[in-house]
Amino acid sequence: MLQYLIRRVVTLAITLIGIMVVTFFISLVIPADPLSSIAGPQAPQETVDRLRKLYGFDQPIYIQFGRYANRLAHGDLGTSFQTGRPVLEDIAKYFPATFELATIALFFSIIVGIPLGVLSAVYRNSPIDHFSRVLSLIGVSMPVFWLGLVFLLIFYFKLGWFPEPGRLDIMLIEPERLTGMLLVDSLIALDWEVFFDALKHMFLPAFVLGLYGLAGIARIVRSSMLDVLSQEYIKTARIKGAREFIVLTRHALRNALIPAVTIIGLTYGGLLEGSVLTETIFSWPGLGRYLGTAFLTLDLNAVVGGTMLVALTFCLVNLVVDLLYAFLDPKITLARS
Amino acid sequence: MKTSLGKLVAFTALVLVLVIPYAGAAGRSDVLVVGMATSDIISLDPAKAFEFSGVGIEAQIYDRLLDFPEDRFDKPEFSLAESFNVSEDGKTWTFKLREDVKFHSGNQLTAEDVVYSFKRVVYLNDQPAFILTQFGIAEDSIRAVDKYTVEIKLDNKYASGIFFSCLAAGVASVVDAKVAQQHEQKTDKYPDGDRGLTWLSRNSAGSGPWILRKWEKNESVILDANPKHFMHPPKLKRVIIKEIVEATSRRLQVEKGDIDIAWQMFPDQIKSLMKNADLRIESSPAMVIWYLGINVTKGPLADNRVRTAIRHAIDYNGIIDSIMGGAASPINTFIPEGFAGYEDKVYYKEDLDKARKLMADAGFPDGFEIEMDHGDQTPSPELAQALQNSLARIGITVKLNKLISSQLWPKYRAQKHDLILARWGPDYVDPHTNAQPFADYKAKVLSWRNVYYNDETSAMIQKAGQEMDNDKRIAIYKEVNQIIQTEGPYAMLFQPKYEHAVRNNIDNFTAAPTFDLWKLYPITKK
Repeated sequence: MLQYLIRRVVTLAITLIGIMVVTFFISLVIPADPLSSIAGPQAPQETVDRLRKLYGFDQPIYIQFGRYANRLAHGDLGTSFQTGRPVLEDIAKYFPATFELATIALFFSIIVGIPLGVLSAVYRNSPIDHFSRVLSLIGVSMPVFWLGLVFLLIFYFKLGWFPEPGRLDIMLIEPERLTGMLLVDSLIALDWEVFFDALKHMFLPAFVLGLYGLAGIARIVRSSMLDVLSQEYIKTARIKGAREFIVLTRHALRNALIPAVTIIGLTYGGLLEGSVLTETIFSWPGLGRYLGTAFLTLDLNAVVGGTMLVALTFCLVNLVVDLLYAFLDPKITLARS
Repeated sequence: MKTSLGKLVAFTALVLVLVIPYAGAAGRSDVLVVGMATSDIISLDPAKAFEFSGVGIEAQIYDRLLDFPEDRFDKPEFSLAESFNVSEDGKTWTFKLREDVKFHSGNQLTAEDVVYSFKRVVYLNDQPAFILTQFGIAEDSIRAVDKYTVEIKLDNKYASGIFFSCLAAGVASVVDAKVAQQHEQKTDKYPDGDRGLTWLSRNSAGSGPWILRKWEKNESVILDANPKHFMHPPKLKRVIIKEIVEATSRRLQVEKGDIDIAWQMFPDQIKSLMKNADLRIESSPAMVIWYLGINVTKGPLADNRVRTAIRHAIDYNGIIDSIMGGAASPINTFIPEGFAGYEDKVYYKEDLDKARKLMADAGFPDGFEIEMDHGDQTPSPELAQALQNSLARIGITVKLNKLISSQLWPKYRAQKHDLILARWGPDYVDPHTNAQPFADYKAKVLSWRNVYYNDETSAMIQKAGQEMDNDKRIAIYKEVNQIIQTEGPYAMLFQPKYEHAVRNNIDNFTAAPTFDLWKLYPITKK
């Protein structure tokens, strides 16, 4: 186990270095000029040239890369053009908001998606199966932008069940920032007003994001359950007189969960990148909008730093998924995988 | 399992109970909440801020020697300065300051603060610095004559109207020197010290009607009133500028009453907002001009008959009605409505017969193929398609290139475009900020980018820049505009309007043509 983990950490470090090198060079060789974007359309060429020198973009690429790599080795991701702050500080600011939202959204996807998938498989072609199919179809096919606006219109504007977009009511004062996650920070501070308000603000964006994850999870659990339910050992369990609930949960679901865990891992990795559209509609100050703007303006330090964070997140999620495989199916051993 | 399921149901029920009774936040009678897109802010330091929202917010926090009143933008009035003198040669300006101004810190505002503020702009030399340095202002050309008198030496004689407008610009804001010096630090870019730049990007050291309480990028800007302001103590206690990028979301929130003002709404939303009796729409012509830039060295475009044909082929009214939803006006001058010198004279209307004849006269009866570059943000793609359709009617086949800003502007600056759809907004509030880029190629901006090297208009603009008689100066701009409209490298498309949704309990709101001219201090809330 330890040997396996060490191997994975080494692979992770190599992956991150590769990502850094590739992203850095792609950002510099594409036919676009980040300085022109920073200076704005009105500035004369002299201003652009002055900024190019100020930011060190007038140097040959290998020198720029050397400087960047050197800084990175010292734990410095550089300064973002769009915020004027160190990229590491920006990530520490925006990632917790995305992490909190993604985790709640995934929680929703799992607690609804797995039972829905099981029920769809057990009651195949019944109304619940049809309902699950339609819900999955909505989750997968409806653009999140449209879905977000419709939910805002209905549940915020018409019914008034949920508060306006944003993380917190603007009149409330945030508790001391410890983790950057409002729910956690407010719990630590025992500030219940902020906690419940943050929870209310979280509901709609988490639901919209969760619906997307739910669709994939419900469908994969359904098909996997159908496959497992036709296996001999399920018949054996039933013949032995096991209760149907036990057959479904202990014998069938545990085996059917392995492909679902893969999907859950991928979904979580995707959610942790942040969703530009959801964050835009719900005024959520997360990583998605930060990176979206960074890519559009070619904010080099933010692009490379953000890409490495996303890669790191995916690698860690994959690692957890692999560890879960072994837990769910003792036949899978980590040494061999 | 049963127990777990029970807990899950109980938890879900609890969440629903917590969430459903939501009834909206209350207790905001002395707080103004504005919903707008503010994600462009990079810094709130006057020496660095040059983005639309950054300058707008910074203008509320700091005072300048001169400033524009909330409802008139033709010439600035005294603010920190209470009188001035100019030398015979027009190069040395002396300003006498008010003696009753205190910074938010409690420090007295003196001539030393003005000197420090201008010197740090020159030293930091960031994007807006040219607004001051274009007059030859250097670190050694400004000094404190006494505690409340400042002397500024310029490298030449300049029109007072231009100079005063620049002194009223955000970059000329006066910073509390003591506070800035306390927060000085050495950085990679400024190894000798950053004059407080890093700290001031997120904090403030001003004397203005509003005090910066907090700025969280992509979230909100919170301003608290400065009740001790020497001239304009605000009527409200606090202003919260909430970041709402999505216009539909702004619309829903202003209709619901969660925000008081929805900044800059789009035409299709304005139509539905007008049906809401709790709101009104406040609008102002934006000091922005949308134009089609024509590179006069690219094949047929070198012939002014072709350029004139293009100007006559455009369906101006169709573009304004269908794409801008009527929230724009035709314009045939580089001086937008709101500036001195604006004229509503129409040089070009859609006239296809005339356009086709001009094309035939120029030797292109069957048209030609050409490329048009444009941005990727609405309404650029829609406008570009409309222009493509317009020009197709006189045989010009336009290939559209949709580019992101970091591709579009380098291409424009490198003079590599054929046609380009672009817009221009003023850097400061004087017609010179438009006349110079549009007509003086030596300024290396628009005229230069379109390779229109007209020495006559260039000389006229430079003459206007030094003309102390304002009426004569404006007359020169009008004369130059006639030349530019007749043979220049542009087709002027329209001047858009800013339209804001304001709840009826908000009074004394005056829509301004730019965000930095918008004053928050007079606003009241019932």
